[in-house]
Amino acid sequence: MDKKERQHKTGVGKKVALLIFFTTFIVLAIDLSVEYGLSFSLLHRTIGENHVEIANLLAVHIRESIEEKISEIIALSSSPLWKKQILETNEKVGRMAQDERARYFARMDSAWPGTSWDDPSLSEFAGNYLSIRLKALCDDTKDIREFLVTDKYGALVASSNKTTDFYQADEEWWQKAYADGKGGIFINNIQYDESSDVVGITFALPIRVDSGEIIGTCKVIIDTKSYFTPLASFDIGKSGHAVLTDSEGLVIFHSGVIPVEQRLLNYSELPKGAGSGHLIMYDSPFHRGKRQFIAFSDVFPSPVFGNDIDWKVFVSQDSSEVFGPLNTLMLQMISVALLLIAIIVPLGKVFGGYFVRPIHELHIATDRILEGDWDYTIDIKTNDEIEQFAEAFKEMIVNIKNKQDDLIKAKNELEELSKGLEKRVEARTKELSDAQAAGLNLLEDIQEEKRKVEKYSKDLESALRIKADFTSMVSHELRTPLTAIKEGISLVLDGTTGPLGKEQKEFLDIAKRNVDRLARLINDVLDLQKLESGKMVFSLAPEDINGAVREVYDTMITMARDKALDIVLELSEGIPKVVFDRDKIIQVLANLVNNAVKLTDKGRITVRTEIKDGLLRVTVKDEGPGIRKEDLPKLFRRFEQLEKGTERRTGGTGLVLAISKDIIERHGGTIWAESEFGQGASFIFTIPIVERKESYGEDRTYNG
Amino acid sequence: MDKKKILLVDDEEDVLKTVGFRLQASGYDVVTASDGKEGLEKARSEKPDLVILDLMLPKMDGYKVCAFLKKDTRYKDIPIIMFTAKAGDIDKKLGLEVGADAYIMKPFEPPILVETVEKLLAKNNG
Repeated sequence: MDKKERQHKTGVGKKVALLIFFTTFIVLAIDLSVEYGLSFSLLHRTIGENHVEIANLLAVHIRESIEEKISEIIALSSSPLWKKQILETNEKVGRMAQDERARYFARMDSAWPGTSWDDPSLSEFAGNYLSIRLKALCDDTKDIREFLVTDKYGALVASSNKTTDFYQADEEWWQKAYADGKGGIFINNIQYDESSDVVGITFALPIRVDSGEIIGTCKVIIDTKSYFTPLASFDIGKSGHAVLTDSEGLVIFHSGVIPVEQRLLNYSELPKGAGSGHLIMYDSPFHRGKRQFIAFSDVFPSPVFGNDIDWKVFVSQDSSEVFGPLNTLMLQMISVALLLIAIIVPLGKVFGGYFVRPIHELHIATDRILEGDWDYTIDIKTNDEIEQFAEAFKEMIVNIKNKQDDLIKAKNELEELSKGLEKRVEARTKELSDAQAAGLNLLEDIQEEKRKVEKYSKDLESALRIKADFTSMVSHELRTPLTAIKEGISLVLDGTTGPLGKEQKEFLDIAKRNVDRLARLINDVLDLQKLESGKMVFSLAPEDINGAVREVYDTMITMARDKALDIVLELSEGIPKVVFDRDKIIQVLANLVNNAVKLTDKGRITVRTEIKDGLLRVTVKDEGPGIRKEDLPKLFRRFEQLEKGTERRTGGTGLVLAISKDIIERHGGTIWAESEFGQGASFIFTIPIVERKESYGEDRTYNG
Repeated sequence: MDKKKILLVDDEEDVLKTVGFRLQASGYDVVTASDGKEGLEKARSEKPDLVILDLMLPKMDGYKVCAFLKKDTRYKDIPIIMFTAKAGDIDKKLGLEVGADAYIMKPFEPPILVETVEKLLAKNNG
């Protein structure tokens, strides 16, 4: 890559800026969402509670207005004059027989519509005291539109205006108010009379004497418009208004406008059993589909009249207006967030650049060094990892520089060397080409020689095999006659065949000793031959050296005591088992002890076992004549008898020590002798203590 | 108590004579055979208490004789001493594998043979 191109790569600043941008963006987005959610629910609750409170107040106002009116009417109806008038009618109608009464009612009803209220025939009703009183009442008060009183049979007693008919007992209000003498207050649903523009509400209540008996009823139609004035004049914000609905859920009153047969909502949409509450209504036909925030409150929280009426006051406002401030707030917050990002991102780029600068410097340094300016110095003091990195970089450059110097040096040396070598190769090539011609002849000679050597080695091999076979055969053949000779001599010598004289015994002893020597010689030759040819089989296994020494002691002690010698054992405790061939080591020990016993006339033989320098060391020490220094190296050579007479004394063949040496060396050990002439001798051998697992468990078919 | 009977098998007349004499002198009845086949036959007919068997025998070698006797339930309890001039480790191993009870190398110290015989017979009675 081109150097300039590289120097312009300053991506870290951008990356840091981007990183900060995304981080900030995500954090702000989460923050805004959460805040919106929290604010929304807070606003929902606060405004909702507020609206419910307003709805409550309005509902209470309506309830109190109506209750007040009812109390007023109850007070009026308890007047004694009212009662007197009713009782008179009761008496008059009561006197009639059942069928006569029915006929009277039917006659009155059929004549009723065609007769004017001013007609004298009706003066009995329109002209009585109570009617006049009621008429005056209607005129005086603006809200009472109709007021009529009946007797306990449902017949009209008095009325403020002409009623639609005479007989009232077939009307619902009457039945509720009288109810066979157990009636109560009845309030009808509000009805709107378009022609008179009256929003009318019908009250009916029983009229009682002091004893509590119902003597008649009265019915009042009240123009409730004035009660709803607070509803009409009520507003919140631009779209907030109040609505009153009746038991059917139909709108009774709505901010002064009188709707007909319109439904604000189904009561089933409201929380069940709740007297008040607030909610968002998403699809309101009444509001032409505009989302509404609605609070409501029951006008009559508990049933107080003869019938259940379920009016509700609603406070409704466009949802968009209610939550409008929230949206404005959110917009403001998003603006602030964007502003923050707009500030932070360039800052990030600046900081990024700040971090990049030292790296950039390192980059320049690398380029300079690549150009060969090894002495370019890097000076970065940021007191952080980058400074550490720069230090490491400097160190690396120094190392590389040193290596490079070395390389250049080595290269120069190599060139020198190669020049010399080239010269030598040239010279040698010439020599070789000269010699090549002569070499061809030489090759033939060599091949001839090789053939000769091969033949010779074959001959030698067969000769060696013949020698081995011969040795083995001869030894075997010698043994059998020896058996007969030994047995024969023994039989005579030990007196089995009868007594013999002193001289006979002496010479037979000589014969026996020499036969024994011959037998030993044959055995030793055989052993040595086997050791040399590698045919000697070693059964290696972990063994106890002290046990082997004791066994040798047991076989040798009699012989030693016969010479009045003692054998002393100095066996170290805790010598681990060492891998060796027990029979062979016993053979070596027996040879050494036998020699010691034979060569010592007085004193004792010491056998010592120990671990020394990580080796098992066995010493057989005698107090015999000792060995001359110059003879020490000869000891272990074959057929080397140091002194005439030694052989006779030891009964040795001159092969025993050579065999011992071979056996010990086959165990990886060494054997040697130490002696001062005239002061006895020590024969010492060592065996390495090695874990030879492959030998452990090897077939050990015999035990000596 | 009856004298114990020992069968001595060797192809060397001198060995048979000297060793046989030694055994007789030690208080045993001695029956001899001079080859493997004869040895096996006499082992079956004479029912000896012990067999001393040379390894290198004409007609049938000592291993085979030993193996035959040791495989036969009627004779397998008769102790057999192997007797040889071939004192190699392998010979000894082979001899013991075919079931010989003891192994004596020629030439031997005269007392050894009698000691071994006594030991084996004592073990067999015990």
